[in-house]
Amino acid sequence: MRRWHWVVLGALTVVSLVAERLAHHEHHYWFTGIPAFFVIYGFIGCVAIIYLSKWYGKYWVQKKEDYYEEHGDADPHRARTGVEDPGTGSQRGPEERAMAGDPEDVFGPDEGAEAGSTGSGPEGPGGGPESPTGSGPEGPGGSEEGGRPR
Amino acid sequence: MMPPALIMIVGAFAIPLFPKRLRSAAAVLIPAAALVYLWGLPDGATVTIQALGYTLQPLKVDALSRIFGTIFAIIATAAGIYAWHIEDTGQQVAALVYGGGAVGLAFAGDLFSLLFFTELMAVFSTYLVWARRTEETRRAGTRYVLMHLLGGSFLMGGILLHLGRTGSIAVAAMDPAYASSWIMLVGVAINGAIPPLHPWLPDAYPKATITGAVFMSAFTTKSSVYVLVRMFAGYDILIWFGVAMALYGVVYAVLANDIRGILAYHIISQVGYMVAGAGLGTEMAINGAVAHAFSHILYKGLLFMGAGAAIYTTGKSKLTELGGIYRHQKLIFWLYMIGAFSISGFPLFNGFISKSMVITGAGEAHYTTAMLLLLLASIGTFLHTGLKLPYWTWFGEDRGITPRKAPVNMYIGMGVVAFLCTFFGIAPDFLYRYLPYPVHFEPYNTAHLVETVQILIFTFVGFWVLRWKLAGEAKLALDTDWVYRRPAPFLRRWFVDLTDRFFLATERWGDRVAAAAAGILRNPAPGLQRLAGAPGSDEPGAPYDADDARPMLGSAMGMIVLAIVLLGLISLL
Repeated sequence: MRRWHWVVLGALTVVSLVAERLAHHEHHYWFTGIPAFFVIYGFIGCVAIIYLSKWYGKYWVQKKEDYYEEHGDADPHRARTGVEDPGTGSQRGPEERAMAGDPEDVFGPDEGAEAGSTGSGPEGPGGGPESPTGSGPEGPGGSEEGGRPR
Repeated sequence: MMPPALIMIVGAFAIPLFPKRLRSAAAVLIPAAALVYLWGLPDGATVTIQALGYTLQPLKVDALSRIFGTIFAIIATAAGIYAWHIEDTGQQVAALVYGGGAVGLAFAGDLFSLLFFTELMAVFSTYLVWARRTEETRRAGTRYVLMHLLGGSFLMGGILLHLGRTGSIAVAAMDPAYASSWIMLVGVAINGAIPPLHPWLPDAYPKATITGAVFMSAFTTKSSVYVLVRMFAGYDILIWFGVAMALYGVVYAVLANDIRGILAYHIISQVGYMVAGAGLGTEMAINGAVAHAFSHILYKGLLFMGAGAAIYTTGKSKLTELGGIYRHQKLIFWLYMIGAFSISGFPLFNGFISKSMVITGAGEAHYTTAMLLLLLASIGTFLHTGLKLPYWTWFGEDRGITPRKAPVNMYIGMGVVAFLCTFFGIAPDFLYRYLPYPVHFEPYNTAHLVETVQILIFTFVGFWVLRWKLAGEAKLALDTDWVYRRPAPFLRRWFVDLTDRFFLATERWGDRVAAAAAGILRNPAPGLQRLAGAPGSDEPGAPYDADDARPMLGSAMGMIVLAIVLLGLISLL
């Protein structure tokens, strides 16, 4: 934000405050006569939304990102057997690979790169994050395979 | 004559028959053909089929149907351009059938057709989530389709009750005095993402494919808005649900970190205006709800396209990972901002000319509090979609990301929609004249402009002061899907694992009994001989010797005689 940006916004506000006095109000509500009502409403509303939502999030609903994985949302049977939908990887377009956050694949959508360096990215689609805690002795081992067939 | 949806659905299933390089073109031309065709249909045109003793009406044209059908076909065409580079035929087919379902629903004249198209949309949109082919999206897609099938079941239950009571399956205004209407309304509320039945939306949309989310943002919730306007206009309860929804989406958008998660919560927020408009039920409010649905589909499609382009080029979707890419993506940023200006209700963009109709409608109906709360929600809309998301995605902290290039077709798709957003903002009459009721509303009057300018400027000031508070947080905000996701492990333990274990134990015991029985029955003689007190081989596995069995013939005869005697005794009783 440069200084002239603020000057423009200030000028617009002044113009709007003048226009507010001159405007013909088709409907009359209790707030119609209050000068600069929407200036105040806009600012207070904005601040209130930020603070109230943040407060609500902090004390009520915000959890760790893997909340559901930790609390057993993942299906232990699938993680154990490593069953995946058929055709994973080979049919996946560059877009999906990009979305999976695989850094190599974002820039080089060639299939050759995939053989060597799959599923090891921090958020690769490997079963790691989905593997439930303590899902039996085969759990962690099996879920390694879960992400993508090699 | 035929329903325009048929062009899209039959066309969709024909796509795999096309040569590979023509499929993208087909995915654009088929909805465009449907658009042209539906504009050629005269008002009042119907198609009637007699089936199973019912009069089905898959096509019934009036102004309300036409405006919804039009916008569904427009966005299907534009999103088809945006998705031109996709080589996944499954996605192309699914998206087109999904769009066809939406167009079909808008023209459905009977409740069975309406239900059919609702379910068609549910099933084919699910594929757009599953098409990412990760474990996470597999589960999200399953949750998504289960919620929609539940909604469909409610709708069907209501329809059957309604049919039983009235004998009519016509799509018409439903009488709030009967339970059947309310059961249908629950089904529509699930599909329309009315809290607390909404969590499928922010759960699935950020996980869909980049192009799939563009389609999803347009069809499902807006087709529910159509049903609300058509069948449930004037239900007072919808006013307050709509207002609550508008604010609910805003609160959760503060907490969202995924950029498409922010946009998804703002779908809920924006649909709140339409739900409230339907609930108000006045001509002005209904016009507002319909016009806002029309505008919303355009600018929300554009926003999902812009955010999708950022995700496509960087491979990142979270505010905590994005930042500082403006110098690489000036054009994408400004195209996105046209969508952001539109949704925020900037003058000269299409959100301004439709949102204000709903808000004025609320004021005219003397719901002043609802009006002010809707204005508050519009502050939140600008704050998140227009400021927080673009600021922390394209500016904010420079994380040294070098995005790759986006395909040209993405720019063209966005350009088309951006043009429409601006066009209808500048020339609202081109939209107003097709609304279901005559419009007596001038959006560009001084009082209204003053109000908008003041709110927008001071929302911006508030944002600038507190922008650090709105940086993304790598956290998950629990939503009402907690109700079915959190107990999942317990349900699994009791209904899956316990059952599994029971069957496993039964199987093991069965095996053991069978093994023991096999051991005995292979050579039953020694055991029976011992029972009869005769000497014999003791080992159960001993080789069979015919002589061992001979003495047993006597005992066998004895058993038969005993059985006959017993039977005789029983028959005497």
